[in-house]
Amino acid sequence: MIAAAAILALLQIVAISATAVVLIGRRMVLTRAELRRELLLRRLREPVLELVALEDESPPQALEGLRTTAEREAVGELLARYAGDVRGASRERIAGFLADQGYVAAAARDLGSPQEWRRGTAAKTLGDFASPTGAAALEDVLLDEGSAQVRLVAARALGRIGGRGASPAVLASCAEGAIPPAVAAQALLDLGEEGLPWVVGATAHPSPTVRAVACRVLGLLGGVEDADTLEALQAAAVSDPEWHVRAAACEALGRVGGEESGLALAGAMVDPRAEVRAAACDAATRLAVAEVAPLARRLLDDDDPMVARAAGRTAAMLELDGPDTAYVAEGRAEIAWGWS
Amino acid sequence: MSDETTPARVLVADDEPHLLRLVKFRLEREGYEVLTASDGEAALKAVREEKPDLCVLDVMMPKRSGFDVLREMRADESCANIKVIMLTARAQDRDVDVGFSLGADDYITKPFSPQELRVRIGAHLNKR
Repeated sequence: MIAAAAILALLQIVAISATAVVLIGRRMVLTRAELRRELLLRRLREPVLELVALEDESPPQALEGLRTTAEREAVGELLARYAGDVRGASRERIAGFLADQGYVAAAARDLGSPQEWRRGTAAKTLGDFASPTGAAALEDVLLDEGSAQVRLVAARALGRIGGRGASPAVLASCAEGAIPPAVAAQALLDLGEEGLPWVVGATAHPSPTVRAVACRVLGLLGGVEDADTLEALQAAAVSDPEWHVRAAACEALGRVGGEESGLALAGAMVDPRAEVRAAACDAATRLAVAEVAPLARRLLDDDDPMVARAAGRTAAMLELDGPDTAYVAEGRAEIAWGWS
Repeated sequence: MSDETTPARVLVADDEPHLLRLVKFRLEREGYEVLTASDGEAALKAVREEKPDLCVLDVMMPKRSGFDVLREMRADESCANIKVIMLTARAQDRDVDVGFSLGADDYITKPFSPQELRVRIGAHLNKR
């Protein structure tokens, strides 16, 4: 009995010792790998900085013809980091180098990998590289990729790269439900003014989801000086068949519109849906549109308290004469506290 | 203050090490002496002790923001005249307004062009 217990204890000690040896050995191997990697990054950092920061025509010799996977991974990682921080000639040099040396083609090949994680990593890498030659491959992913996660990464990556086909691909993918509206909106915002004509056109898209995304993006992207944007939003605010699109258009007008949006907002203030009337009141408040004053006064008695409260803010902003309801007093206080 | 024989001294403050390295590399190649700081407090300390000719300040830094550093610099007679360029991802008109109203000499938004940064630094230092 005692002998069996002793043997058991001995076996436990042996097992614990073996585990400790394995863990220590593994840590040493990892430490050595990290050290090698750090040394590699240190060696390659200077030529990478030369490529990014100096205005030389040709890339530094130290970066050309790198053979080992570790070297190429290190250069790819360093350049991907800088590609997001710089613009102009520096960014073009990075993109050109990554395309010429086959880094972009290698990542694009990985988009066809059977492993989901590898496809996702490849999509992210292409976005980090910001090379226009990677955009076409990502556009295909948005429409054909089976994994929702990879599509999300590809949408974000495409937003960072831009290019002629990026906005239509993002909008088409959103219309098919392949990427969520919020991800599509973020990608379109990242694409910025480059994609503005497509976003304006998308306010008339057959999909209401796409129309709502387009209105929200225009509210954040467009400006009062852009006549096409304002025209599209004004039309959507009063004519779109879906109430949530009309409400989104009103909200966007409140951000980018001007006094010339008064007529459209007045139309939206008599909308059958309370959400649209409230959104129109808030937009009129933001823009301080005087011509909606009679409607704002009438909406103070709206059956829906959300609308009456919003009309209270409008009345307070326009300093309307008339009934000093609790909603007007509340609106005055909200505005004094910086409502926006 | 630098003259023709001593290089101008530039302080670069940013909490992102790789960006700090990039700007330092570019400016050293241009012949400047470059000091670095990775947070607002270190930047303010370096400004007061080293009196650089120009500062490149990020806005969103640990401990003190670039705007805080700029405000304190302008309130301190000993470093009120040091040129300051804000280099930041905060690109909204409101942020640019705040930067200039606090006394920044220039405002560059990220992503930025290293070439443009070099040219602007040169222009500000030549104006002295």
